Amino acid sequence: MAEEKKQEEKKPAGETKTVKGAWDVKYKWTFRTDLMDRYVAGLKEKKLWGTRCGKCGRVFAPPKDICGKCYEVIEDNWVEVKDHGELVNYTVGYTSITGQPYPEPQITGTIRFEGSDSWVLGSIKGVKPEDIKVGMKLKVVWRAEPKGQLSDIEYYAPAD
Amino acid sequence: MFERKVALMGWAMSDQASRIEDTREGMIFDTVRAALDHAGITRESVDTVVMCSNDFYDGHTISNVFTVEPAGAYAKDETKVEQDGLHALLYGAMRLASGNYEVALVVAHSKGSEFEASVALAAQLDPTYDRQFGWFNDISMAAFQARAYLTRKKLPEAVLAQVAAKNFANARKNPQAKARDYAAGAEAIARSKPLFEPLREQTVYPVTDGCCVVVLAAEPAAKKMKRKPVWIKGIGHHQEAYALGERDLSKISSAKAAARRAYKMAGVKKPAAEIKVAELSEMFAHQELMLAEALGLCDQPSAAKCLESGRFDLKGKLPINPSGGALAACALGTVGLVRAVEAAEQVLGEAGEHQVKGVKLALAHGQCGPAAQNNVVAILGK
Repeated sequence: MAEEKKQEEKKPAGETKTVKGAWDVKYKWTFRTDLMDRYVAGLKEKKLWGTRCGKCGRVFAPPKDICGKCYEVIEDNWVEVKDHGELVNYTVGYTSITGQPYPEPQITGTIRFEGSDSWVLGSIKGVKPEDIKVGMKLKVVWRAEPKGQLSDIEYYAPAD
Repeated sequence: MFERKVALMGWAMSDQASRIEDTREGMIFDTVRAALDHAGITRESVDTVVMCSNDFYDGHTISNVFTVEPAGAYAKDETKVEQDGLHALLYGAMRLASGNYEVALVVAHSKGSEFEASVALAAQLDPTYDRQFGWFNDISMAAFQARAYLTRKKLPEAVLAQVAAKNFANARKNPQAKARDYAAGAEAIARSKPLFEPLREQTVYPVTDGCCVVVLAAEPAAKKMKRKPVWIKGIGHHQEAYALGERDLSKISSAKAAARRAYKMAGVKKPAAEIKVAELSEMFAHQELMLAEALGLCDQPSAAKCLESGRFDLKGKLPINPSGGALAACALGTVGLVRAVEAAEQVLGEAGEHQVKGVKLALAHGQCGPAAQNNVVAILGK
């Protein structure tokens, strides 16, 4: 399995070699289907659903089942939020997350939907890097025929 | 408050550089040996060992099973922290404060040359949602924080290069920082390769290999040892929500809360006047300014103005990162412990070319988590 490489420089502690390996463990992460299924089912109808903490009243979209601040379970308390909102933050990415250069700069940002107290991460298109501004109004650009998947939100674009 | 006082009694660190030619075990052994010698003790005096590394970085699960022997922990009480080295120091100190141990070894290490750091760090993110897109890693998360801060404070991006330029100038006086060429000034830094704007190659930490070790002792044992104790006068730890979508990213509120606890324990009322030097884990340039504000180290509301006035320079009123900080060199997981060693050397006047004059109290800061979610602040003094 191992490809061995001899180090060129000899160290006083003795010569060293490296052995290549990878950590290729497959995982199956469990999440609550009553939360995410409802959320992605909403996406199929071009609707955005969040949950409201019964104690502090904060609305989380995408939904959460525990409010960390109140330390309370959020019971079946669904609220619809709008598919538009404002840009909270952004970055213009010139490399992929593993450091490969992108052919075109990619804008990602955090967007607060109208009616939500949390904000979502997403890709932003239809605006040049030099024109983007914190606070600008954005809207969801939906897939033409949503399938009930996270990717039904194709990206966010400036609202007219 | 600790039931009894705990001090840093000796330490050592390797060069912070690519050490692909060294084995992990050899690097740890050499550094632990040097730290024991520095403290003037042998392995036999060590009661407990707290290590810090990360299974993802090491490529083994429960990776400390391989490192206990070079760390001097053979047949001793040993545990591992997967946060930052300053968290390991906090837990080591708590073990001593409990009264059950007299001497603790704190050992932090990682070998950035041996793994794909960007892949391991992207794996910090929530797998069921944030990771699904493949767009986000620790740098893009920090870029959101940088943008939030610059927007709130109405600052130009150029200020980030100014932070790095100060720290690079300091790193030129630090013989152990060997991660990059520190010749660049602010203009060249501002033109370095963009990663996730406003962050660039030279305003983001460079991943190195490295090991850092501290010997801690509780009183009265500390007072019987060879070297002068550097006491942990105060220490605080705090964290905030993981989700960026629930945090005001323009402030590091958990660092502020950690500092509040540390200052209370140390009896520090006016940190901007009482702290004489601060070593901060600024993984990204903007975090140094944000932390300076959160920790109360500024003499006016704007850390950027303090930087411009020279307050944070090596010869300024309150130098920040005379070692060059994490922007100069960063062996992941050792960064906060390196800051503690640098702060301890400042207290004793042993920091060499980057020594600050007249340091009675020094501050060391460590962090972990996306966009500095989790922060530790320690106040060290004679």
